[in-house]
Amino acid sequence: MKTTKKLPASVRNYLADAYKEETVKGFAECDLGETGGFETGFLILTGEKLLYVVTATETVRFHRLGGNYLEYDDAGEVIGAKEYRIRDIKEPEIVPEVARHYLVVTVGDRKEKVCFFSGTARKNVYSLIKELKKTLDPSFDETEEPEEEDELHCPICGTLYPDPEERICPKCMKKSSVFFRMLRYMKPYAGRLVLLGVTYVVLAVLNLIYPYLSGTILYDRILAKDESFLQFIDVPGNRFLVLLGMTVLFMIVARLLRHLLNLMQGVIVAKLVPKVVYTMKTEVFRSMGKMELHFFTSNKTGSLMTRVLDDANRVTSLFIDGLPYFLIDSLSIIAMFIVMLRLNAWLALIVFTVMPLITFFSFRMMPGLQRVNTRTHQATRKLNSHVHDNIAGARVVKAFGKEKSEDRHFVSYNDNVRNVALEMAGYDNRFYISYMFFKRLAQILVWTVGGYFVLYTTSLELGVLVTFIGYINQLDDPLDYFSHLFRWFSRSMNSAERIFEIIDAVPKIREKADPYRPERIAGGIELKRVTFGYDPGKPILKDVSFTVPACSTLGIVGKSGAGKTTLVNLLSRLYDPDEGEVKIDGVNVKEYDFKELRKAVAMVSQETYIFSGTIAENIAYAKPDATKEEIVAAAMKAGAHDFICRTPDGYDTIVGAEGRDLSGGEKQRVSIARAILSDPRILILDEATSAVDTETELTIQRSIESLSEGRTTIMIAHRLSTLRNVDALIVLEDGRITERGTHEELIRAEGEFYRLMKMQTDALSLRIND
Amino acid sequence: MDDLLTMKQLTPDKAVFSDNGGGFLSLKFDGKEYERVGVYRMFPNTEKDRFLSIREATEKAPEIGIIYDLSEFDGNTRTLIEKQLLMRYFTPKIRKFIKIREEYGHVYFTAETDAGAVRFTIRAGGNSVAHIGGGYYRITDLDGNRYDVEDIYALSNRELRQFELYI
Ligand SMILES: Nc1ncnc2c1ncn2[C@@H]1O[C@H](COP(=O)(O)OP(=O)(O)O)[C@@H](O)[C@H]1O
Ligand SMILES: [Mg+2]
Repeated sequence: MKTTKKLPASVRNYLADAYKEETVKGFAECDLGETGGFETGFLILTGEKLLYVVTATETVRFHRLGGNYLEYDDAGEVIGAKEYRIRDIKEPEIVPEVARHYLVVTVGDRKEKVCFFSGTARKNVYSLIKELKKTLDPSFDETEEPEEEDELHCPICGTLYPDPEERICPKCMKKSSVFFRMLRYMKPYAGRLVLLGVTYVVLAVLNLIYPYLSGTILYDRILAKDESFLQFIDVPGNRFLVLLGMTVLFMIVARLLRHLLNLMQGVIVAKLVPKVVYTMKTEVFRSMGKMELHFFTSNKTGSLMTRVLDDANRVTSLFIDGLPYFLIDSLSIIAMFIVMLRLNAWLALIVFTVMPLITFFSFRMMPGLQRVNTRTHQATRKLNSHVHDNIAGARVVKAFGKEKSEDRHFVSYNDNVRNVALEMAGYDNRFYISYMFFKRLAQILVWTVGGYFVLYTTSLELGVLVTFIGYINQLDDPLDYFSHLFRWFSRSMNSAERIFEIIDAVPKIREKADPYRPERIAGGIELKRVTFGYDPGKPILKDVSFTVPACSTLGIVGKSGAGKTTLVNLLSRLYDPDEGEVKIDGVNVKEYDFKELRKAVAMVSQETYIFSGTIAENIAYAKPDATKEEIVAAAMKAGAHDFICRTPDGYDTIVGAEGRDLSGGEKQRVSIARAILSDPRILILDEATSAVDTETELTIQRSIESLSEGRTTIMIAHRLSTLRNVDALIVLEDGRITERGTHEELIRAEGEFYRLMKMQTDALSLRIND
Repeated sequence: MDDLLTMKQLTPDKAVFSDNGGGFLSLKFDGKEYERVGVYRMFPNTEKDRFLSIREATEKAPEIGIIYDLSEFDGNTRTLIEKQLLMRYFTPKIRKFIKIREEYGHVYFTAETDAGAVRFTIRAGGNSVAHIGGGYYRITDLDGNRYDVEDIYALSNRELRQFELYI
């Protein structure tokens, strides 16, 4: 706390003037105005009053000093103040807004905002308000939460990842194949890619012609009045003037065309990237679905996926925005060389000798850069998690007297980071300096040698020299770009590896060669003597048969481990039964087109998937073209709207590995909204509301009931009371159906369902009686 | 539009906003009076004046209704609501990074913003810099303050090279 600090002189003087009798008991600096930007204010607590004094800010050089707040010895004159008698105020409270907090008090029967401040100033205001509250009365608690650590290994071979954060198994991934596999994702967009390619080529040609026009043609042919050139091109009238006009016109058109083509490229790329990313995401999502249980049980968390999905963006943009440039740039460099060689062999040779050196250097840098790059990542990650653990577990560390050894760890981690960072910066700079040197070298050499030729020989004309310099300057861009591309490339390949790792993980279930694609799926379900087990000889589901008519609702009940999740997984063909058949609309699910089947069956499962992106994108996952209205409506039905609105960034909140963490219940609601928006024929809710509170569950329940009209719904619920309105129920015990019927029938039968129901009501009344 | 949404819609003829005098917004709607309401953007990064959720200024903040398009309201109401939005969503826009320095796992920034020069600190390698879209990034410092970089490509090469390390 800042009790040792003093109020600035101007404020002290002001207080001495206006509040002679009062003694200052404490104060806190505030730094924001009501709607505008920064303001310097002081919230002051005296024996009788709560004051807020604002000073001029022109003397403030920086707002916030590294979290320490401003140096207020140099605060300006007092320009405003308001006061409250402590006797008159009640319920002081700090209200957090997105990035501005305020203090509110009740004066009489009205709430009033007293002052505004940033997160930095909040701690101080908070302490002061605690003091104020103490004079007014109550007290508070603070809570802390420790976090867990996770260790991961490759799902295929079980090797521990070298870096648990990166999750790349070096054993299971061949680098070279990654590149070509990526190309597959671009195939459906071949047409547009060709168009894109054409724009690149035209641009390259323009780049090639332009210096030639502005140099050789303009200077040596037209301005030098080369008659032979005139014979070459037959034009009437004052022929040089006309030619000049034509050349200039052509130059202008070339420039315009360049801008136009650039614009076109931008539009195509902007449209293409999201599409490819979507395809990739879908494929990853699907494989995640396929491997569902065992994949996750061996990985502990679902965050693996979120990380990977983020990679999709990077990889795609490399392929669409990066590599074509690479190809075209390489081509235009070659073309330029040929033209240069024909114009003047000697000069061209000079450029020739310097160029390979540049390329050589940039290539040599590549593997180094890549290695250093990954290492900075690893090192900083380790350091950060270490710092974090230390803060979170500070008390434990102290309790066991481990400060010394922890310190040593910290230092070694940190040295690690610094060394790698230095190395990296070294590479960058060395690369840049040598690159700049060579670039200039080429120009200087050409100017000197070229100047000599022009002045003292007849073998070189001025225009040719101008053309040359033009070309050399044009070489800058591609070269700059290359150096950037190398880093981009290596990063993207890492990303791609991670994606494929997941896509490859389970190749077990395959689509039929000539799959069934119905016009419309009605949604009738039939299981015929299905037996299934994850391990051979250990059946989890035993001889299960039942039918669910289209558009009706089925509830599945059973103890945990009874096989409920396993059962519904068979419907969307995440697994195939060992014996028996699973049919939808009378057709075996094995016959169905994967896409149609998964579109028709939406499952909100126990383990929810949230991937990197905004909440809106997460909800619109199955329907990327959904309007904002549709997204909001789906969220409302899923009981997610309120919690979303209350987060600072609302539906734009970035969630997933790189963003905000949602609670289990929040994730479930987002998943339900996703399922609602996808409007499936068969909706499966597998304990989808287990992590939300009873009140929210009721809201969701009501929406789902209205939603289940016109579609088949299967509900697995933890709280049996939520299954009251289903059309039929089955009770699963140890993989067998032991009871079936309506809610009333089962209660009347007084079997397992009745027993479970009774147990829950008893537990509930116990809890209420507590 | 879905029935649910129409039900929630606040229109100029049904919703009357006013100032309560203590810095709060009041609302009369559907026969009820709310002394203090908050204005929340539902899509703060993509919709500035559309999709505003009007909520009671209590801890649970139950939703009263939604303004789908602020421009449907008269100038007076718009000013009142915009004031609340400014209050809630204050985020200085960084014009220039003066200095970026990393030490012991934290990054210290000195920057020029449209609200004045600032210094702030983030944790290195954490999730402190969020990508909003395009060249748009948002930095959240250790104290939860936010700073927007609206277009990283408008930064100088030097700034970009330094800042790039944290995105
Ligand atoms: N991927 C898996 N590999 C092996 N066994 C599994 C797998 N998933 C679930 N099981 C086992 O199958 C049984 C049924 O599980 P599950 O269908 O999840 O039950 P419920 O959903 O009814 O709680 C349990 O004994 C569980 O341990
Ligand atoms: Mg289950």
